[in-house]
Amino acid sequence: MIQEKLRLLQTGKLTAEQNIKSFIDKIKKEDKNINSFIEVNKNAVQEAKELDKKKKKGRLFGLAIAVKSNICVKGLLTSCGSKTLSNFYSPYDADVIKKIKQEDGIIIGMVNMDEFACGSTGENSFYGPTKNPVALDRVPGGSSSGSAASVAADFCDLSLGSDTGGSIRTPASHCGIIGIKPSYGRVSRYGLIDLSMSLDQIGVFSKEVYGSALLLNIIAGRSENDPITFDNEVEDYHIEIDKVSSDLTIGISKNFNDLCQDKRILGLINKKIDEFSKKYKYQKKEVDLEYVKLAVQTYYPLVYVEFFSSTRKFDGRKYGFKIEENCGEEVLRRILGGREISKAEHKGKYYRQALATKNLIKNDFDNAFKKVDFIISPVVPRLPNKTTKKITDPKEMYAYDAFTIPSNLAGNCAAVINIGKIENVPVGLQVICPSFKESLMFNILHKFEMLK
Amino acid sequence: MDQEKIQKQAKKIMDDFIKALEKQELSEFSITRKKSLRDQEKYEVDKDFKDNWLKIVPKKKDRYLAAEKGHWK
Repeated sequence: MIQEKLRLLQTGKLTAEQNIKSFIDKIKKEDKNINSFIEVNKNAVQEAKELDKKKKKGRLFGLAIAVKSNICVKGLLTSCGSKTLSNFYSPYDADVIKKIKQEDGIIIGMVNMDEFACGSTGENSFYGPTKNPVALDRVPGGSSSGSAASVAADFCDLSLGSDTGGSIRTPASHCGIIGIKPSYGRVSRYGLIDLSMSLDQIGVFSKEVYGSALLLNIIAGRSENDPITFDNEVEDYHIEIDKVSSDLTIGISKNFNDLCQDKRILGLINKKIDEFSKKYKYQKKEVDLEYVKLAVQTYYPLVYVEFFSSTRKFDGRKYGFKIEENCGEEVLRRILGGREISKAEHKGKYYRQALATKNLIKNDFDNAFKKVDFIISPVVPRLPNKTTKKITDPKEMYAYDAFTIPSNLAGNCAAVINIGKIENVPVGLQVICPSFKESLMFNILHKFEMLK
Repeated sequence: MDQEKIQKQAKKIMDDFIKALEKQELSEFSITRKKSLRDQEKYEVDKDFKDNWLKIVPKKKDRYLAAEKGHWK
């Protein structure tokens, strides 16, 4: 229990040094089978010793936090899981890292990921694939594969990831933990190496809802370094998770359910919704999300173009190596595809059409949230593939994100919580809330947690 | 990796995707404008910009930046 651990750390019954050392010992012994860490912070124990001398303790005092390798941590390898940046040690801390350090959290290391966040399985890393600690024969999901695996394997207390089209929620589902994608504009991306700047968000992983709520409360908020962040009040999500919310209406969409290939997943989710609505006396209502069927087709032209643009700095002149000569196939596909459809001869047709449809999807959600308080959906359309059966068709791989992409396009906040297993593989449920309703989202997640 | 093959594949994916999107009726928001600026918008060109910029570029040819091809190798 993270609350109990925090109490022990705050009262000195457990030292930060003891906490960090126990994780590092476990990583040394067990991570060779999981491959979740790219780099363990060599100074973590020393940093913990220094913290133990402090009289006034921050809210994350002594907790070990793993960081996805596309978020800059001063002095640590921010490789993006790519050979391109395999020699890039960040010269500064991202905004989120500064905030964690201010609250006495300790960065235990940089974790594995799909190269430049391009992937949904955790298999596309220069540093080798990440394994799923709770279902070793299955992929852990991506792109924040190491962030999810390190929490699931108890190599850290909490972790940070990034979510552009499901990169937090998919691995959270496959590893059986909590994964949070905040609303667009809720968390500063300063220091995040971007995949697609109009969709990227930094989010969190934990084993219990409380941990995610606390960490998000700390990293959220306006930053002058990221102009898309908003001034909206950051509520005390971790304190308000017990809040009694009555008269809520759950939204369920046939448009989502039609996309689910494995009906066993749908069956498990429906069973959970029934249990949930009965216990808390919430109403259920069908909502029309007509355009979510086009989410994948809308998302990829945007990502291709924005990713192509964002990678122009990786020319091997200032730092790292030239990306086109050092990246894997999926990264190259997005760069070359983005370059092609950005050409003047196409007059912005692809990007503009995708932007227009993005707006239709956003309208769908805005209208739905006039009738319901939150929407529940599956996270992925089928169980994660076996590690021996790599998906080679890009379109098949892209379709895997069909349930998670819509929230990125609409800018909503969304989260995943485990609801059981099928074939011994964890299955998650997705809770989607309107933008900046994170407090409600944590409240609902906690209620699901209490059902277990 | 065969770059040409990957590029063709990527283009085909994008073409398939955009075909699906083009079938949708677009909302007022998304109507393509004939002009890139609205009537009330005024875009003032900084007339000195190019002259000032040409003063600081490492290499130039006439009124253009000369590419420093291979310079960094």
